[in-house]
Amino acid sequence: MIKKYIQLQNMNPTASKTGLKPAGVLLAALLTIIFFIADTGFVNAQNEGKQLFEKNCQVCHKLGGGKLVGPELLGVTQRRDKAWIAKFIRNSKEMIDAGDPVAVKVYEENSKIPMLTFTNLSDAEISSIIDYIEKWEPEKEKVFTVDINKKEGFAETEILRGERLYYGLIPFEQGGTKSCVSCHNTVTADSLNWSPSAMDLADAFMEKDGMNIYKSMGEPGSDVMRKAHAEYKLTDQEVFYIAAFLSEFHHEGMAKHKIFPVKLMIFLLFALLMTLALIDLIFTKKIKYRIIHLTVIVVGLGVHFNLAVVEAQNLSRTRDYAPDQPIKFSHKVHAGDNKTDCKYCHSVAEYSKSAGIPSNNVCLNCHKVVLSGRNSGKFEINKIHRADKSGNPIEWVRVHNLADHVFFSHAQHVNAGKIECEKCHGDVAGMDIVKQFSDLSMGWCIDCHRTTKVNFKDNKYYSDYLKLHEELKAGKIDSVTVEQIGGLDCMKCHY
Amino acid sequence: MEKKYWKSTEEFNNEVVPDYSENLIPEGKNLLDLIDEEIAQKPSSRRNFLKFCGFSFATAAIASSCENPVKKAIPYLNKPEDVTPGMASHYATSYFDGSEYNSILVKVRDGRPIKIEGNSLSDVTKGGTTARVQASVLSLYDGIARHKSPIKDGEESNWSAVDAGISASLREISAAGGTIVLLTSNIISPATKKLIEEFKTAFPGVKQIVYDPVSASGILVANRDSYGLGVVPDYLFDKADVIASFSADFLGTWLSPAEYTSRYAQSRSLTKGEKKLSYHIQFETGMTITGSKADKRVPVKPSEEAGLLLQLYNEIAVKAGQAGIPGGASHEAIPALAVRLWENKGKSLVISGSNDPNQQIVVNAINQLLENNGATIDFGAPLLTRQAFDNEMEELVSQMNAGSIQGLILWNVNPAYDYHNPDAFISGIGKVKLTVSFGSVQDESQEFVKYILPAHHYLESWDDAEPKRGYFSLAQPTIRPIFSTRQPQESLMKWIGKEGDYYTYLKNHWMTEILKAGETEWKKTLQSGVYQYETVTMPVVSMNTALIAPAAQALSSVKKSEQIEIVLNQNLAMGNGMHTNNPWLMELPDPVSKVCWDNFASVSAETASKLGVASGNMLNIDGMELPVFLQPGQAAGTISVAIGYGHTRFGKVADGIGVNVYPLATYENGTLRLSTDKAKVEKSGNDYLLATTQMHGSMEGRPIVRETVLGSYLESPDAGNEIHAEHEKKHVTLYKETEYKGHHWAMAIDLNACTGCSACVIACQAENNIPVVGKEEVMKTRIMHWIRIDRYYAGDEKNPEVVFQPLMCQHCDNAPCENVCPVSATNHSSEGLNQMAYNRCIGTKYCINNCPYKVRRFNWFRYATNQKFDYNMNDDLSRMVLNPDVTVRERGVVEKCSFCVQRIQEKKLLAKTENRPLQDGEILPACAQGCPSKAIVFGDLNDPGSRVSQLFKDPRNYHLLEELHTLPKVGYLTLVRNSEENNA
Repeated sequence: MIKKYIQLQNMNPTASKTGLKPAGVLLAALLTIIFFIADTGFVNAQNEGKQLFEKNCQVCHKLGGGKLVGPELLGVTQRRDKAWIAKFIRNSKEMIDAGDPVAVKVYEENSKIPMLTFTNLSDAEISSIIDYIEKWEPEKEKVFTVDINKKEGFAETEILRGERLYYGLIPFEQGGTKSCVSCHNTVTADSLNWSPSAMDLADAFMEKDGMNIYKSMGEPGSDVMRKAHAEYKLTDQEVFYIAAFLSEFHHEGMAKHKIFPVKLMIFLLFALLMTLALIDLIFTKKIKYRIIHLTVIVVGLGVHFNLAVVEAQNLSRTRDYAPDQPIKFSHKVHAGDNKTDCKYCHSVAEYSKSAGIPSNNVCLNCHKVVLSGRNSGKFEINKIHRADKSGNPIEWVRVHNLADHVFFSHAQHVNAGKIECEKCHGDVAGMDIVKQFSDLSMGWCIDCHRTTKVNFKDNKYYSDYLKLHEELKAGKIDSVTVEQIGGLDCMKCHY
Repeated sequence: MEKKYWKSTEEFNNEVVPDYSENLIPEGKNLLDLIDEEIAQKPSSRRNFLKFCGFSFATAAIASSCENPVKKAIPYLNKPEDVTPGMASHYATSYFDGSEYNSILVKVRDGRPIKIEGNSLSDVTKGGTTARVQASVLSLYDGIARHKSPIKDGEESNWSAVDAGISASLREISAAGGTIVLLTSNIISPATKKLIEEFKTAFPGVKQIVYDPVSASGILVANRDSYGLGVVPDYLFDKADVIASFSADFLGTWLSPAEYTSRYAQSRSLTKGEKKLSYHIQFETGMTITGSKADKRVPVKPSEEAGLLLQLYNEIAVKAGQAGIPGGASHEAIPALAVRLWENKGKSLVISGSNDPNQQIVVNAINQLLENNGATIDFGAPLLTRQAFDNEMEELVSQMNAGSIQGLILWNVNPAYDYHNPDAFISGIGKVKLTVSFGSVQDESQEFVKYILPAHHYLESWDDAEPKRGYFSLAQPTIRPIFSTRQPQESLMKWIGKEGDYYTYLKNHWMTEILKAGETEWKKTLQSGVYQYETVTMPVVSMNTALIAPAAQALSSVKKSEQIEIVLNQNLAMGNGMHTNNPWLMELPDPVSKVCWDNFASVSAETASKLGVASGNMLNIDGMELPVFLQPGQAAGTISVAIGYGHTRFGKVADGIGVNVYPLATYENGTLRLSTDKAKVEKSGNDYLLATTQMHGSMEGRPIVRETVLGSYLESPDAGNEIHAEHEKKHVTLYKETEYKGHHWAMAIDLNACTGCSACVIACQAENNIPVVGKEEVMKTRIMHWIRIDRYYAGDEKNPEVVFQPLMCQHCDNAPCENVCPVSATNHSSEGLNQMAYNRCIGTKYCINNCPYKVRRFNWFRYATNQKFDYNMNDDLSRMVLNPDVTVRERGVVEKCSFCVQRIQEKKLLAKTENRPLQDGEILPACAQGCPSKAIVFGDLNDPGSRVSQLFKDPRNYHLLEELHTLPKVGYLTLVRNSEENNA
């Protein structure tokens, strides 16, 4: 009751205007900080156990929910001695092998699936886990001071306040140096930003049974978010305002990032200069030396011509294209750090013309268990689960677009030709955001066809090419390139 | 000396062919004036546009800040195990439209069926297809004619509402002892038959009547009386050395054409060292493809057929030492035929397409004398696709008019259009309380029914088929239902309160009644699509000979009519009119007349002059106006008209095209006759232009088709083709000859096997995204088909010989088109293909002009998006049928046959990934795949063992215009006829 009263006090806009004495403010701030630190210290101790539990135990054990792979752990501290538990956690196999009767019984009761050993955990860590299990209580329904189910129909002032909070135009009551917008973009940007954009947040918030913004602000779901939000203690009312803003943002949509047309400006500048030179040359005649006019016109024409040629060549070529994807999926994390094989996800590349974007269920093969990413926390991975629940597939943006009238087969190159993916796609394993590596122009295709040697001797398909085999034998040629088996024929690719 | 071939009556008579394009230019003006005027009328012309181009193009390139469209790549949420994006799967299923059966494979790409292929595992159709089967995939995507949801009283409704209404009515009528008629087309599905029986048990008032507008009622009645078996037997054309057909178009439209064509081709093949051919004589009125293939064709009026049959019977009876029967004509062709037939006793076959039971009894008697039953006629595996007895429908209509029918359920029938007396049917249906139609597309009859419960397209349905006794096949869906439709079987199940879906019902029926085996066998059958019982020996049936005399008496009383007789025939594209709304079929030129987009009155030149009409005039037949077409070989005093046209409520393509001539059919002696001599025929004052592809690519009388007779062929295999060796000797060139180091693709076409059935034309159209251009464009010679069937007449105009020649790009090794292309858009590949790069083509059309075979086509319009070509490509749904592996061509580019390069590449890749050499015959272009007679052989010339290499070495092989040294890679095998006379 008291707490609520204080909050209501704080909410009163006149309170801040009346002001407090500077010393009082300082004292209050100091006290707050001390309490805050103590508070976070306590929270951290408890959180460590929780985090360790979530990281190591949760895959096989539940707390209050029955047996999963391993037994239910609720009340285990009453059933067993804490030292025994610690020993069992550290190395259960040893205990079973040693013939500890309880350990053997537990082993046999659980279909003889041995528990993993956790020799990597310190004693303190194990005891913090046991502590967490002992003190665990079912989550209590948190009481909110605002209507947390409201998603539509916010008042204009609420939206405006939310917007200001979001952009950091007014500070948060309980501190925090940065605003929401410093991490959560409101415009599309081409730099790497692991935090979900405002649009992502708005979508997740507006979705039916979507993100509970109050809950996740109060209790961050992942390490990443916890760290990023460590400074912030938003009040329910502030979250409410931000929710209002997100709702509005959802309807308004994201502003497009405008690209300044540099080349057009250069073009127009020279056009202007040439016009001026021409006018001066013919009418005004202010500049004596005609060589200046001529130089301006010649250079101008040169620039124009160069621009025209270069741009015409690059028409519809999209090298370095790296669009924003609906999920901040990092190939660097998956293919680079975790060394996942390209063909695990793009499995159809072996036998189909398209490499195939992995379907949602392929993502879930791993992400059923891996729920939190190292850069993006839970938010991005959650999108897979959200798609699974809603039944709407994820709409990825295609990076490599071939012209319509070109037939290209991955199977031909990956399977028959044994070309490495990197040859055309570049070092994808080092890319957080995938970008188009090759320009996919016809010249690029042809160059490779001219020089690449085919696996002529080993693939039995080529046994039909009798004449080339004869030439090889006679030593007329030492290898066979794609060109020699018709790799430059129009109808290899165009039909 | 070559025969003189001619392509039309105009050419035969050395008349000037009217150039219709001249009609567009008003008198006193020339074409240039017109163009100038047109330009003057338009505010901006192309010329003006070009003026403004110049440097501004470069400016535009920069300033436009062209944004490339963002393309999405949307994966499956849960990828089905057997679907791979970018790869096609083939599902075996069955095609049955109520009269024609075909076992097929459906090519499904990314979830949509895009092409029909023949199923070579089927013992019935043996991998062959027909044009209608090939085209059936297009009707799946007809978003206009297909119903989107159930309809009640003309308003869109929902399934539960219509079910409730119909169930209540059925119960009410049944309880009151009323009659409900299930009026179906032929039903060959064993599971459906069983379900109908259950439906009858549940509602005792229900009875089933089978209605078929083009029935085999005559045969059914005759066989029921003759043998006690009311079925159509299996005709073994492959076992017959002499085939005598009386107006049965068995290669084109009669009963089971795909099956018969494959058998017939076997008896006409000379490619595997055979030393004999079957002898085929055809008596017919209009010129059909069967008559064209015959060794001897005799034009007769329909009323003459009875006399000829009696004469034939008497001639053979004499030889068999049996008594003759009174009556009979005295045609000069019959005695010789009788001799041949008698010499080939037990190896001959006499058939008749007549629907007169008496004629069929005489045919049975002849076959009985010739001991053909059990030899070339098999009653052990009768054809079950024809079950309709015409009298039942007649009785139904009179009962309906008498008000004694309370319920009528139309299932795949459209009597308001194809019944010979539509007014009687329409007035009758008005007196029926409960009227239901299961039509999946709109039709004329649905105007008069209360409920329309749209059925799935057959590619969306589960079903089974037993086209011949003991030969089963399954049909499985290849796509989810596009609209809110439901299988009629499921409706019946719902109304009788049966749980489950039709799939479960079907599967249970198969596992317990047909396969009598478990899940594994079911899956195996589903995969192969077909299943058959062990073949049993042909039963020997004996005929009730007492029938012959009365039948003969009845026939001899028929007087040869002196009136103009009108024959209603089916043409290859339209059949009985069920598929008229299919644009591919509508634009398929009839292989004989080469006319598309219309039906017309075929008359011989002689009869035309008697009637005082010429080509381009119209005839008035009982109030119906039909354009006149002078058809060489048409029997004197007759007019042939195709049925299937003149729809009024059938869809955007069919409506208003041609005239519905079903009302001319007559009902006589218990069966329906598709001919009449009672119609009033006179000249109408109007004129009409037909769209004909006849004069396209005329080859100016050069030795394009080469033919010989069997005798000469046996003496020297290169008979008729001696000139080929001459030309081969002259192959010298100053240039270095190109070496084909890998494959060298080629195609061989056996003119003996080709029947002109045009399945290849539609197969090619489906495979290669070929647009339909409409009648006007066809008249401007802008039809887009990559393969066409050229037809040549030779000899007497009254009864010419006919040769069909499929013509596609010849892939010349020394191609004239390649040399003249200014941008090298067409050039030669290292595998011998004449390539066409659309993205390089600038549309000069020089290649078209320089092609001696006239196989190149120009895209005058952007057919895929232009709303004026509202046929198969210009909306999102119908574009689903397009093959994603073939470019949809842009306006202004030239296109032509590519030898189905996408299929070549696909199979090459498969071989590479499987680390094995390509097999001969593995690559099948669409035309070769669908060909029922397997007349087209494709393969690698560099492989000396391949079939195409063998055929290229055959002395019969020749190339078109080989004297030009174009070195075509399509070879034709000389046509060999089994006749004595040579019209040289």
